[in-house]
Amino acid sequence: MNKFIINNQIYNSRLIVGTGKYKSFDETKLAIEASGAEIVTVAIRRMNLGQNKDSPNLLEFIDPNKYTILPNTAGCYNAKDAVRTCNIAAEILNGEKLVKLEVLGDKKTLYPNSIETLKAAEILVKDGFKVMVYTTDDPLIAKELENIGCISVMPLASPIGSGLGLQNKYNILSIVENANVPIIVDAGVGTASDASIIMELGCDGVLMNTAIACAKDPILMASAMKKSVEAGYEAFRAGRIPKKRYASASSPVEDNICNDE
Amino acid sequence: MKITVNQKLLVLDDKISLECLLVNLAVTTKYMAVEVNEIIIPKSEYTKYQLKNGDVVEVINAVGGG
Repeated sequence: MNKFIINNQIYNSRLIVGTGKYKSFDETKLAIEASGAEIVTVAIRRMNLGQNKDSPNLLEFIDPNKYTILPNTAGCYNAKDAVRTCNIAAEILNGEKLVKLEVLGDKKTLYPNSIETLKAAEILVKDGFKVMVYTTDDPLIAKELENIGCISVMPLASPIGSGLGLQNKYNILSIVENANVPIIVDAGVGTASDASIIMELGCDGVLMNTAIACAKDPILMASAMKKSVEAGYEAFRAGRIPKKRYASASSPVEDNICNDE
Repeated sequence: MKITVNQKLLVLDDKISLECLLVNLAVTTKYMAVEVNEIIIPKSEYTKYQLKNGDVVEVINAVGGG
């Protein structure tokens, strides 16, 4: 069994979860615990310096000593902003340089801008960042990002927050087959079976946020996702049967007392 | 002296260090970053860093995201 290694650390869980869109930090914490995730994404934003001076900080609920915090560059639409955000993230996390690079193209699709993503990845890798990169399901771009030195390539299943599940199975399969770094499908998962389908292809992990946070019961969905990622990965390792057009009896066809042929 | 902190204009009577500004704003977390005029000021320099008229300060932290 291949171990799931990110930035020289072995993880038991292949599910990475986001912390956005929850109703409260308490709910965030409970959902993450139920998911079994060990790597947790966060966004980088201005601190709320308003009236609520005692308002809690996310990282008081999600302890960086317990979880690997993966800061993202969500909301960046060019390489310069993404690099700036990563440098700020490293300062926030007291020197940690593991980042989730995402450079988006437009607000409607939140589809990755491959040109700016490639530019940012080159700069960040040169600056010593360990870059996990959100990308399209284009196998050539995925390989190029690996060649630049990204430590994990994270193609989308479908648009961020869409819940449409895996839309381009064969491209993801091509990416997985050609990769020498972990392939983590990031974005688009809607429900548990979506995560299983991704893992059954041989992907190394799945990253999701909305599917859990916006479920009617996020904590129950987090638990479902934990099982679905594990089930999908076990099924991949077990090796599925080939698909056949017609039936193949499970019971012996010989010595049937009702039907002597 | 006028400085901008997280897009809000602050008018101050005296010179102030970055450390003092953060204390006045009740910023206590260790998981944060500060940019002054788009340059990150390391935490170790907050005490000696003197803010100047017109400085644009961003106080940044981690929030929920995917």
